[in-house]
Amino acid sequence: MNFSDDTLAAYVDGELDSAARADIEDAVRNDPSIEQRIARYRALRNHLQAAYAAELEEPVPDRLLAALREPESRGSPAAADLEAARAAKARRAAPGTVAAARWRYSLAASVLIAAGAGFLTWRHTHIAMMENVDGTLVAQGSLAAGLSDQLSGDGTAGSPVRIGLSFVAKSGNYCRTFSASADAGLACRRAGRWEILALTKQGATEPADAQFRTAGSALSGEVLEAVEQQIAGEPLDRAGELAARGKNWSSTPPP
Amino acid sequence: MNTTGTRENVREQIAALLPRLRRFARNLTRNPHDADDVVQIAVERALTKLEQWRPDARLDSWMFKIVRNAWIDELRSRGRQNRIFTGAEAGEHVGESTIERESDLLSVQSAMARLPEDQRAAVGLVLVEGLPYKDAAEVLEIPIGTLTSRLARGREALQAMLQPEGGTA
Repeated sequence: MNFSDDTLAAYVDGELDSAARADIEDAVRNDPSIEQRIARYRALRNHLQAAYAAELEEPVPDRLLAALREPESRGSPAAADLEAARAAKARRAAPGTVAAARWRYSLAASVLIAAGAGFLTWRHTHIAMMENVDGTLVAQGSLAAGLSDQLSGDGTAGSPVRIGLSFVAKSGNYCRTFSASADAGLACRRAGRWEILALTKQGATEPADAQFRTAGSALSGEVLEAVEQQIAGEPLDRAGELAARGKNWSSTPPP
Repeated sequence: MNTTGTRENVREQIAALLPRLRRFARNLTRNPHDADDVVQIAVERALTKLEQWRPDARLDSWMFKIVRNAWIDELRSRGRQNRIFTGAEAGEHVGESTIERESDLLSVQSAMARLPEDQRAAVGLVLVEGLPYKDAAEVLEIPIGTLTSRLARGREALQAMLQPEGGTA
C-alpha cells in the first residue's frame, strides 16, 4: 500500500484513527522503507521537542507573573495595549541585541550538534520511548520504566535502557541521565513523569550493541552540559538512588 | 497536563502556561524581548475577556491564539510606523555561535528562525507545543488542509537544514 508523506506525518503526529494506524503498522512489516520514512518524521519531531525543552525551564519574568496576579490593581483594560508594553520595554536597559547571547547560552541550541548524520537511524520506531505530551517530551514505555526502576550502571535484562547518573536538580527534582538504543539524554522527574530535557543521538562510531559500555561514559558533551546546568551538589550515590526510588522520585525541597 | 479546567483557577492555569506561551512567542517573534512583550499583552487581554473562554476548550489553544493575535497587531503597528520588521537581527545572529561554526549544522532554533512565518507558527504549534491539528488550525484561523500543507513545507525545510544527509537512513 502506498502512503502519502502527509499520511505518514499525521501518523507520527498522532492524528490518525486506529484503523488508519493499523493499516500503516501492517504495511511496515512488509516494507521497511515505510518505517524509514516514519522514522524521519519521528526523528524531526523528537528533535524539535528536545531542542525546545530547555526553554520551559527558564524562570518566567516577574512582570508576566505580576500581570496575572494583580489585574485588579491595574488601570483600565486599555492598559493591555502596546503602549504599555512599549513603555515597559523602554524601561529595560538592553534592547533586542541580547538575542544572540540568549541563543548562545541556550542549551537547546547545542542539543542538535551531536545528532549529526547518524540521526536518521531511529531504532525502536514502533516502541515509542518518548511522547510529546502538551508540548513536553515525556519518557514512555521501557524508557520510563528504566528511569523509574533501574539503578545507575545496572542493566536490567531485556531493558534497552542504561542509567548513567542520578542527581537532585536546582529545582529540587530528581534527574537522571540515560542511554537507550540510539539515544542518550537527561530526564527529570516532574509531576509524576520523566520529562526529557536533553536528547542526543549516540555517535555513529559506537557499537550498536554496547552492552558493556557504562552509560555515563557514553554521554555526549551536550547532555553533560545539561547536567551541569541543572545539578545541585553531587550526583547521588547508590544509597541516595535507593532512597529516591523508594519515594518514587518525588521531588525534594530545593537545597 | 490537563489543558481544560475551571474558571476558578484559570489564573493559575495561565501562570502554568507561561513557559509555553513564551516559547511559542519566541518562535513567532524570533526575539526574546518582543516575545515577552507579546506574552504580557496577551495575558492582559486574556484577563479582560475571560468570559469568552469556555472551560471545556483547551486553555493553551485559546492563549496561543491571543498571543498570535497580539503579535499580528504589533506587526501591523510597526508597519504603520514604517519601521522595518524582518527579524533579521535575531535571524542573522542565531547561527553564529562558535559551536555552530565548528559544525556545519544549524541549531534547531536557528533553522526554525529561517522558516517563513506561516510555517514557523504551524511547526511551533504542532511539533513543538504538541497541539492536535484541529486546535493548531483554530489558533491560526486556517483550514486544516492549509495547516497540513504548511506543516509539510516546514518539515521539509527543517529536514533539509537539520538532517543534511536526509533520505539516506
